[in-house]
Amino acid sequence: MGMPSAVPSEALVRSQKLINWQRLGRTLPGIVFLAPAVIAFIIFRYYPLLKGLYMSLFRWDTQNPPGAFVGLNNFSLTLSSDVFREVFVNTLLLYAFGMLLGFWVPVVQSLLLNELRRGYYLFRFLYVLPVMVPGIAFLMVWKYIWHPDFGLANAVMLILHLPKQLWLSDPKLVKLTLRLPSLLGGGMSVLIYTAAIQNVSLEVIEAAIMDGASAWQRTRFIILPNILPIVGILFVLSLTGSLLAFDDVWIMTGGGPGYSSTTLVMGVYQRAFVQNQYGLGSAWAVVILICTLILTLARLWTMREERM
Amino acid sequence: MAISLSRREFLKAAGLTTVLVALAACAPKATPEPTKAPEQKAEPTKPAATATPAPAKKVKIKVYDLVAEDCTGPGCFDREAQKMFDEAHPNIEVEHLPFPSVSVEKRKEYWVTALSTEGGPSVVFFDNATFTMQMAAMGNVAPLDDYLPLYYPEWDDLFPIVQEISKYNGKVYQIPGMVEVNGIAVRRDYLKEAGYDENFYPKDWPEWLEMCQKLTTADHWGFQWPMIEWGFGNFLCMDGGTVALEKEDRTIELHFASKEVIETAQMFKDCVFKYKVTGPDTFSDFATNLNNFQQNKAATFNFMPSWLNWLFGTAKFQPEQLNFAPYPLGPSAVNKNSLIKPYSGVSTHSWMVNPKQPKDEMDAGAQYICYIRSKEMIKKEAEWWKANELRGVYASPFKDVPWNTVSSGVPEWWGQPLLTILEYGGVSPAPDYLGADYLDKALQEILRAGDSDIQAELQKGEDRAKREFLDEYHKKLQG
Repeated sequence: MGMPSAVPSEALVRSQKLINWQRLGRTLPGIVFLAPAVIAFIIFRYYPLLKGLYMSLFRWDTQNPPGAFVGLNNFSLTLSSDVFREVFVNTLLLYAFGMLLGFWVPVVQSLLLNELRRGYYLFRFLYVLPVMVPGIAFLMVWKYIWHPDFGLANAVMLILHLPKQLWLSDPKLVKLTLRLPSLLGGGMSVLIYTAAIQNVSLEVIEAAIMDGASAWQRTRFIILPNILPIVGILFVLSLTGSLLAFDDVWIMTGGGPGYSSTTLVMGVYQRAFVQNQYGLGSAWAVVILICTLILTLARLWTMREERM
Repeated sequence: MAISLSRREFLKAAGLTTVLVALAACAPKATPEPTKAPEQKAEPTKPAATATPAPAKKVKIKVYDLVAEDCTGPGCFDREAQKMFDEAHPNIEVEHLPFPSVSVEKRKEYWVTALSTEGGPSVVFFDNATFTMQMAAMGNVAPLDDYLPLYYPEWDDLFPIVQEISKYNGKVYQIPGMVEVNGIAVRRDYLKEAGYDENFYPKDWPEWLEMCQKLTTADHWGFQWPMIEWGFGNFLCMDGGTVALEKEDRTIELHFASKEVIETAQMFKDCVFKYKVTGPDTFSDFATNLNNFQQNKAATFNFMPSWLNWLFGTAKFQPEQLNFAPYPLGPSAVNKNSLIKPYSGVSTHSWMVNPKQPKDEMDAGAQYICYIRSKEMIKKEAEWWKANELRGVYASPFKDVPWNTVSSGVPEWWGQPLLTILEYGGVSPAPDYLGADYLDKALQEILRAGDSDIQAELQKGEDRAKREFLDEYHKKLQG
C-alpha cells in the first residue's frame, strides 16, 4: 500500500467541484420554500428601514421626491426638539412603569403555578385565556374603567373615601394609569415562564428538597437562576415593545392630554402624516431605531456577562 | 465543455438570481407617456389639462364609494346615485370599492399615500374641505376649473363661502358635497329648568358664561367639550382670532400670543377655575365628551349637523329636544377690533380628482363627481330620505335649494342658525399651517393650574412651533 499523496488527485478535486446532486436534492426544497419568506422579509422589513434612513437625509417632498438634501439637519432638529425630549421621557416613563408594575407579575404567577398541587392546568388555561380576547376590546373595557364619572376605578375610590381621579385626563397620572392594567399579568409570558420552569432539572430540585431547602430557597437559588436567560429575552422584547408603543396609548388617550402620553412612535406619525414632514419623521424613526439597538445590545451584553 | 460548479458557487448564484428576480418584480412599471398628467404633478397652481367632453370609448375608473348591500342609513342614497350615473353614462364604467373604514386622520394618511403613487383611485372623497386644501398644496389633486362649464354649470349657484372653501390659490379643487357648519347644541329641557326660554341661545361670551353657570347643577355641567382640541379653535374663531395667518407668498405668521388667543384662553380658564361650569375633565377627547353629553352629564355640546344625524340613531336625543345655535361672539369680535373677520367653521364633504391618471380617466372622474354631487342629485337625495323616513339636518351648498328641502324631520328652529353660520363662514386664514399641536401643549399648561401665566405659556408655544415646524416649512417653500 503506497503512502497517500499530499497533493489531492485530479479526480478528487473534480469530484469535490462538481455539484453533489444528492445533497442538492436535499437542500433545494429548503431553499425554495425559504425564498418567499426571505424575499418578503427583505422587501417589507429591510427595504423600508433603508428607505427611512435615506428619507431622513432630505426635506422630503412627496410630489417630487426626494426634495432638498439636508444632510444631518433632520437629526439635529430632532435632537434639539423640546417635543422630542418630552416624548422620549414619556416613552421611558411608560416603559419604567410597565417594568415596575407588570414585568415581574408573570414570573411570580408562573412560580406560584409551579407550586400548585391541584388545578395546575386549569389555572394555566385561565392565565392564558385573555390572550384570545382582541386587544381593542381589552383597551375599551379599561377606557371605561378609568372614566371619571362612570368608571369602576372612581367608584372604588369613593368606597375607600378617596377623591375621584382624572385617570386619563390628568397629565401627572396618565402614564401610570396606562400601565396599571399590566399588574394583572397573565398572557403568553406566563406560558413561556412556565415552560422554562418545567425545564429545570427535577433531580436538582429533588436533591435540594432532600437537603431540606424550603420552597423559597428552591425558588431563589435553583429555579430563578435557571430561568434567567428566558427572563432576559422577555426583558429585551418588552424593552423594544415599550420603545415602539403606539396602539394601546393611541386608543386610550390619543397621546393626550397635550403631549403627556405621546410616545416616540406617535411623534413619528405626527411629523409624517399630520405635518407632512416625512424627512423629519424618518429622522425620528432612525433615532428610535438607534436607541432601541443601543438598549437591546446593552442588555444582551450584560446577559452575556452574567452567563460568563 | 462541461461547466463545473461547487455547491457554494451554486448557492451564491441561486441567491443572486433570487434577489435580482425580486428586484425586477419590484421595479416601477414602465408606463407610456400619456398615462401621466405631468402638468398637475408638481405645480398645483398650473392650469388644468383642457377638459374634453365625455369619452367616446369606454373608460374605466376606480372610486372608493361602495355602499354595503344591507346599508340602511342616510349614506345609502349613494347606491341609487351610482345606478343613475351608470344608466346615464354607458361609456364610463365605475368600479366601486369599499371605503376605507378608518378614522378621519387615518383616512387622510390613506389618501396621501394612495395619491402619492400612480395607480391610486380616480376619485377621492373626504369629510372635510381643509383636507382638499392640504391635498391641493401638495399637488395631489387636480384643478377642476376647466370641467365646471362642461359638467357643473351650477357652480355660480353655490353659496359664496362654499365656493371659497372649494378653492386653493384661486383654482377649484373640489366639488362640494354636504355642507358642515359648526355650532352649539343646547338641551332645551335643561334651559327650561334653569328658567330660560327654550329657544334661548347666547349671543356673546358674557351671555354664554351666564348660561353655563345657570345650566351647571350637581348632575350636569353647563359646558363640557374638549378644550385642547378644536373646541378652542372654534371659540378663537368667534373672537376673530387665529393661531396663524398666511401671507400672499404662502409664508405663515404665528399669532399664539395675540390678544384674541389670550382672551379665549382666559375664557376657558375662567370656565374651569373661576366659574366652575365645566368638568375638571377638560382635556378629554371628543368621544369622552360626546359620551358625557349622551349620558346627561353636560347641557351643551360642540356640534355639526351631520353628527346629529348619526346621533339620532345612537342616542335618545331627537332634534326637537335640542337647540342648534351659532357660537357666541367674543369681546374682540363684538368690538370689531379682531385680527381677522370672525368666522365660524364652515366646511363641506369634498370630492376630488386624482391628477396621476390617464387623461380620459381624469375626465371621467371629474364627470362622475360633478354628476354625483349635482344640484339635481342633492334634491333627489332629499326626496329619497323622505321616502325612506330618514331624519337629517343639512345645509345645502346651493343658494337656491333651501335647507328644509334637503333636511327632513327637523323642527323649523334648526334652519336659521344653519343660514346664519353660512353667512359667518370664512376660509381658514392659514390652510397650510399644520403645526396646530404646538398650541395644545401651551393650553395644557394654562389649564393645568389656576395660577398659570397665559401669555408666557403661549409665547413659549409660539417659539417652539417656529423652531420645530415653521422654519422648516418656510425652507421647503423656498425649495
